[in-house]
Amino acid sequence: MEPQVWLDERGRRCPLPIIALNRAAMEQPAGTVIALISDDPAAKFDVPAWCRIKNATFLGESPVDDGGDGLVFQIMVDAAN
Amino acid sequence: MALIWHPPAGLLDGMGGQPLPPGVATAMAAAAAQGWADPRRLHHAGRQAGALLDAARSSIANNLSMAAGMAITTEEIYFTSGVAAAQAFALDGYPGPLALGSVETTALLDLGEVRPATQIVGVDAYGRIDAEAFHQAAATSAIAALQVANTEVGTCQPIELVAATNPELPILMDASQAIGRIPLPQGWSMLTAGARDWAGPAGVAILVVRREVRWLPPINADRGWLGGFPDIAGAVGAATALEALMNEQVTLAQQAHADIELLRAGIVSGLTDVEVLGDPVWRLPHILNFSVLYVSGEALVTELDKRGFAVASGSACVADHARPSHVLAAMGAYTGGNIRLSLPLGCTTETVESFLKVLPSAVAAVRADI
Repeated sequence: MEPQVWLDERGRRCPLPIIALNRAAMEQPAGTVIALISDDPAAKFDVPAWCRIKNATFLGESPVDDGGDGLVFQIMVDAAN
Repeated sequence: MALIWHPPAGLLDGMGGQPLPPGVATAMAAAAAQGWADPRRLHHAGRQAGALLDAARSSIANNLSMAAGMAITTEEIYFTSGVAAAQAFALDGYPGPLALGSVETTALLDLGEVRPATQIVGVDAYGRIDAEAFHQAAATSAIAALQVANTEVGTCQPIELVAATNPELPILMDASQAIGRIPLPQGWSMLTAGARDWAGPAGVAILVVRREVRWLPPINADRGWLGGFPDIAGAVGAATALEALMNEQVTLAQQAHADIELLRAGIVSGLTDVEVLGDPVWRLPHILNFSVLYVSGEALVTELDKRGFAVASGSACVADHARPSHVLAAMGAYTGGNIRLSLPLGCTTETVESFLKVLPSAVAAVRADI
C-alpha cells in the first residue's frame, strides 16, 4: 500500500516524531497510510506502542531507500483515532 | 513505634537511594571504630573484627529467614560488594547453560551473554515472563536466573510456578526491592540482594546459597566475604538496616500498597494520553511506572524536580546509552515520557497526594513548551 502522507522526522528526538505522527493522524481520514521516517532510537519501540494505544494499525518498518540512518515506519490511521 | 526512616520531602525515587537511618549510621560508626583489624588475625583486635562480621552475618540469616519463610543458616550467607558481583559469583560457581528472562537487570543479561548457550525468555505486556517458554528453555539449561519482581515496573515473576514445573533446575533469584516488601517465593536455590534496597549502606550485597546446591565457592571466601577485603562496618550497617525493616515490614508494605493504588488512580484520572505500566495487582507494593505521551522523559523529570519531586525515568533521553529501558522495550510499552516512581521507606501519604496535585501542571508545562 502506497503511503499518502510522508513525514521526514530525521534528526529529531523523542517525543517530536510521535507528536508529528499524532498531528498527521488527526488530520487524515481513516484508512490513510502515513510513512514516518525517523532515526530516533526510541521510534522503533514507540511507533508500534503509539499505534496500540491510539488504535492505529502498525503496518511495519523498513530501512530508508538511500541507505542512510533511520527507518521508515508505516501506519494506517484507524476510524477510532 | 516511631518509624526510623525520614526520607526528604518529595523523594519518590527510593530505588535511587535514601539517607541512612540515624541508627544505622551510628551502628556503622561504632563497628568501624572497633572492627578495623583483619578478621582472620588471631590477635585480640582481629578477633573483635571477626566477631562483628560473624554477628552481622548471623543477624542477616535470622531476618532473611523471616523474609523467606524458611530457615536460612549463617553459613549459607555470603557478603560481597554489590548485586551484580553477587550474581557473577553465583554463576561462576555453577557452570552450564543459563535460562533467564528478558527483563532481568542489564548486568545479569551481560553475564548471560558471555556464557555459552544462554537462552533469554520474553515477557508479556506486564513484563512477566512466559512461563511455558521458560519451561522449554529450562529443559536444556543447567540453571535459571529470575527476579522476584521487576524493579522498574513492579510486576512479580512466577518463580514458584517455574520451580514447581522444573524441580531439578536450580533458580538464582534476584530479590532486589522484594526483601521486607513481600513474602519471598519458595523454590529458589541461590538468592542475591543489595543492602541499599533496605536503606542500608552502598557497597554491601548478599549471596545466599542453599546448602544442597552444588556451588563451587571462590577461593579465599574467608568468613563469608567474597572478593576483596571485608567491609565490616558495611556488613554491620546492612544487618542493622535489615533488622529495622523486618520489624516494620507489614505496616510499611500495607501503606505503600495503598499509596501506589492512590497514585495509579490519580495518574489515570488526572492526565490525558497516559499509560500506566506493570501488573496492577501482583506487584511490589512500592513501585509504579507510567508513560506520558507527547512529552520527553527528561523534560518531565526536570519539571517535577523544579516542583520539588525527585523521580526516575526509563526514557531514552534519560538513560545512559541513549536507548530506552530494555524492560519497557521488552514489554512493548511506550518508552517516551516515562516516569518510574519508587516509594522510599518512610514515604508519607501526604507526599503522594501532593505529587498528584502537581503532576497535571508539570505535564501541561512540558507539553506547552514543545
